[in-house]
Amino acid sequence: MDYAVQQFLNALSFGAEYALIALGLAIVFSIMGLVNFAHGEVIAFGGYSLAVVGTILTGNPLILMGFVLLACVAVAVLLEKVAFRTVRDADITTGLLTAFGVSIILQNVFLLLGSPRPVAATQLIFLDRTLWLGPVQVSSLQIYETVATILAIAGLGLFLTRSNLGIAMRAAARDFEMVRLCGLRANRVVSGAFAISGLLAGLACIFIMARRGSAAPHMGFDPVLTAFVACVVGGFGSLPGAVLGGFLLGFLEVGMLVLLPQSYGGLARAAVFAMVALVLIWRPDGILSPASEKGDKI
Amino acid sequence: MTNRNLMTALAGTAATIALAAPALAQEETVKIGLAVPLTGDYAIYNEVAGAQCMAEMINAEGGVDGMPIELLIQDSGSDTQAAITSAERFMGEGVVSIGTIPFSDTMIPLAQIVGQNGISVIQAQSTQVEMHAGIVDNFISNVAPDPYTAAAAANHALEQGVQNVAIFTSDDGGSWSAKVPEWFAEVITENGGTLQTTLNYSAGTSDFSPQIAELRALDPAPDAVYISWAMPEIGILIRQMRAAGLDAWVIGSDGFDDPSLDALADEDPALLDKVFFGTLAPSQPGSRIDEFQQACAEIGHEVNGLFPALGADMVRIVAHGVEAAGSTDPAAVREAIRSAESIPVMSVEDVSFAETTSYALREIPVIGFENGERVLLSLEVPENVPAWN
Repeated sequence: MDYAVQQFLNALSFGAEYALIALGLAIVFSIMGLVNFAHGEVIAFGGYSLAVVGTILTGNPLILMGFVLLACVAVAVLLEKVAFRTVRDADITTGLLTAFGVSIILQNVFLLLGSPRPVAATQLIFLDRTLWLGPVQVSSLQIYETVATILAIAGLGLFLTRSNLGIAMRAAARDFEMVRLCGLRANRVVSGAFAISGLLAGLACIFIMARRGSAAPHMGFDPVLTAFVACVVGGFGSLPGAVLGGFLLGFLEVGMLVLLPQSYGGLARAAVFAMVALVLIWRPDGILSPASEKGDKI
Repeated sequence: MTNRNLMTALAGTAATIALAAPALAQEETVKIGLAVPLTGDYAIYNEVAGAQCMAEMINAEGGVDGMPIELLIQDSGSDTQAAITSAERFMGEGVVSIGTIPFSDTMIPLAQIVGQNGISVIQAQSTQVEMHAGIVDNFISNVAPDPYTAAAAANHALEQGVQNVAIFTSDDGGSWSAKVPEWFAEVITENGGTLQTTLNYSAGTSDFSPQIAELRALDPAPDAVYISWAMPEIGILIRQMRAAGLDAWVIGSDGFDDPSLDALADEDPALLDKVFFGTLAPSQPGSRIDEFQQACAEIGHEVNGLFPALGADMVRIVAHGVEAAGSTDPAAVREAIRSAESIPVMSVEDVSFAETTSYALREIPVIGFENGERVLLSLEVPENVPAWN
């Protein structure tokens, strides 16, 4: 029984991480129609910031966590200004290629200025401690990650429904031109989306670094690919869809690792994607595809 | 001087320079091509830093038969086609040998292409068994294949009383990550031990919690887990296992041989107390590699880690081949390398390819840690290597 509970918590934790990253992708896509594959490098930038500031300035984990969040927000907003603003009105493939280009450039900047090897940054590993809940062993990091994701989703929900900028962003997701005609500044709305995306990347970065204890040039790319699949499954552009897709993938991944006979262990990833394909056959636009995708512009 | 005389003098000078230029350009060098990953996922495996340092050392002493060593270096990233394109360019520049991405899906096609010109692929660090299956005949590796490191690690584990083992396998690193753990388990079970479970993982895993829950459910608890992979995943596994209260040995292959593993000791030296790995050459403090790295640092070359350091061996092997062959003809150099009884290298006293043809059969070091510092635990050529070729 405790084994099943343990694996359930593992799945929850995997899902929470994917959901956090998927949300960051989804919020930018819903407004700009841009699949920001450079989101992973924003996470990596946070990791390197932690390594540098943690070594040179302070080891205080609270200050470091705040700094990681700030660094990720800053670099996400900067990328929007430098790279993505110029292609905002271009074809969707131009945006996609720009995102890949930015991603590759940043990976190589990390590699050339840092090292191809992981750079140690162990200031946050104290977050990962073992707790006992009765007979069940739980990682404190899993609890923090799941709770933080739930809080982030709730906070984002409040922001999008209660603040002017949030409402503007929701409106922009439906009809960006109309939002501009209403007098709202497009740059502010888009920058806001990137800032939120950066904040979510920073949050994910904190948990990834607490587990890895090191930063590496490609550390963000794989999680973003998985999060991209989560967005597709959930319905691209739908924020609840991104969360649902993230948790679904987390449960599928852990489920396959646990249930698949070890002789077929190499097929775990293939099995996960086969199930994703089945979901997409059932719901080609994703489980919670946005209403606008169905022609509902109201 | 009149303008006419001046023009005549300038024309004469220009003609002299033009005639002299080919002579200068034809100064013979020993060219070694390196189409290697300076960027991308495989960058940590490139041998460039050690090769550059050794080439500079040899050149400072007059070169090879008076010819300086010239390294031609191109970044292949992780891309086989980029490596092949660079190799084709190197062929036109008259290289003696080529080094590339140390994985068989690059080395095999590249060796087939450069083999048409008689050129050898000489790898500083390749351990993959596929390269010794007779697919290509112009391949030479400076180190022993993976089954030797697996057997050496298993032998040391048995000496520690290890009986129950769990192995981690992945298809993402070819035979290195999929078969090496099985070879380790084979030696353990042939000596009375038990393979309790095989757990799967993927490249880039940042959370081993599901696998660790499986390990915790084993009865009896495993004495050791074996994984043939690299940092940072190894660090995550060690840390998560210890946090989960699992104190089994964590045993690995040459992927563990990276300075970033040693860095775990900065966090807590006890994390490495029950970690050891079979690797390619001794690199603990005081070893020949350690001394080489220090010597390189003194002349301005940072050679950080085992894989870059082994580039020095590759340069020494090529230099020996050129000297013995008395020419830079690639086929003659390869023949000279293969017929030599002993080739002095940097990482150990000498290596030989006379019996094996395509790899250097070395003593396999097993490296562990005491108070966070590397120590050499054993050094042997294992005799109980699982059948692999």
